[in-house]
Amino acid sequence: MREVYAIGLGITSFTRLEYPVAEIAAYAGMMALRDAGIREVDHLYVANMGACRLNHQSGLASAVVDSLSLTPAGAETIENGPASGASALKQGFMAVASGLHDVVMVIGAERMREVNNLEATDFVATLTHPLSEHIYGVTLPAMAGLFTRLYMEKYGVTERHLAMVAVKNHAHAMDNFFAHLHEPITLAGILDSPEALTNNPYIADPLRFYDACPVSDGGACIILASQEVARKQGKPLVRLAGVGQATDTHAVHEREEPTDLLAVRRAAEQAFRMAGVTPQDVHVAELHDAFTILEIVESEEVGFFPKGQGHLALERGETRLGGRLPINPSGGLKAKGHPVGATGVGQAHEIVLQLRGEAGNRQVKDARVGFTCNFGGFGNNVVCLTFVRED
Amino acid sequence: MERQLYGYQCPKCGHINYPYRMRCRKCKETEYKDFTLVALPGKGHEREVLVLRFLALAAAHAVRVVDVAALGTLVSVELAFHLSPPVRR
Repeated sequence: MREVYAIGLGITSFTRLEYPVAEIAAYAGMMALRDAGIREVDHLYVANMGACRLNHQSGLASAVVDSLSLTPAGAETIENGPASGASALKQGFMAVASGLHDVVMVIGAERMREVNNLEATDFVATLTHPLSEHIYGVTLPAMAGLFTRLYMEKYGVTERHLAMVAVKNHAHAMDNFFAHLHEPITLAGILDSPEALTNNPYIADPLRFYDACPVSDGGACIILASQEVARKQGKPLVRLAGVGQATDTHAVHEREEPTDLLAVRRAAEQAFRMAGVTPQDVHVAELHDAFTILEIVESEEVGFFPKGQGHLALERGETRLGGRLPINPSGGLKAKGHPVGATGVGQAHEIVLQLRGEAGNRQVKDARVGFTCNFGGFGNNVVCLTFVRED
Repeated sequence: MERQLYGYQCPKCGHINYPYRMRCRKCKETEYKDFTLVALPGKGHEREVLVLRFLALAAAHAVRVVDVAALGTLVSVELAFHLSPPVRR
């Protein structure tokens, strides 16, 4: 296989955007073309979960490739739920690594706020099992609430730990211009004060309002290329060095231990093994914190901390900027936002930016190995990526 | 009914794009700048006409391909509109 490099980055604000989803995607793509200093690509992958349902737009990649005047390059849409972004990056990786293409554009885009919150919540809930979960009215916040209660009972995680994740990631997002929420929050405001229950009501016990990510619109883009092309760019060489993907049972109740996220564990193992690094080599990570509990659990499952001890590392401040292993310096899904199809590309965008040393006030010092975990379904389809800076 | 078509003029090369696109089809500039909205001339050369009749809907559509000369640039425009009154068998 050939080595694959990230040579161009583009992103829109993750927020409410009053543009068609194809334009959101195309804008991110054009920023990436400019960043890479190129005008054409061989192929375009567009990650998206809901354009057909939410925006009445099918054939999204065909619309985007034309909007960017990139025809006759090949184009296709990749849908893998909230892991669509990393799945599309995996497709792009394979296309370049195999020698099929030299330059591939991967865009993730979603416009969720065209519909109201109830419709958006139901749309996301359709990724649960239709006959054993969705039919009973389960939503992702409800699923995460059940999971969190089990995790608390088993490992001693408390609501304070969950709130600490939210406070940390909101603080990180303050330095990210493109983040959805520029809203500093404190433990007093969302947990300890008499007003906390008003500021931060329960939405799916034990999860509260600030334990959940916002519903966002947004787009992100990464251009992948062969080593020969990347060396001509004159930019720091950031290699997509490891790709891993694993699945688990669709229905959560069928898992032997419902508090284990085996697909996360297996996808991470593959991504580390392919890159020839270990979890202890990672300097910065973006984990899929659609709910605060997920950042804690994923930090254990990918191997950063022993099982059941992620919340203790959080307590020690190891996962905040300036800590031993900063997690979600972008603000994560929690505060940067979660336009589902764009999320995986957005995570990788942040890691490449960090490894280039271009992350501004949220830069992780001397970062050379970065990692992303893009979590599809409720842990039933997970894609992990490892990036390594060379030179 | 009065109809007016608008094109999207690239600020760099002057090419008129129709329909709207993010990047100019001619110069492929990658720096984002808003296109200028320009009214296209009301006259053009009709190249093809295709009339589609949908009996079940008791309606018809016509698709016309028209070459419009605008600011020195040739633009192909597709028009779709209802014919009135609805066609009856």
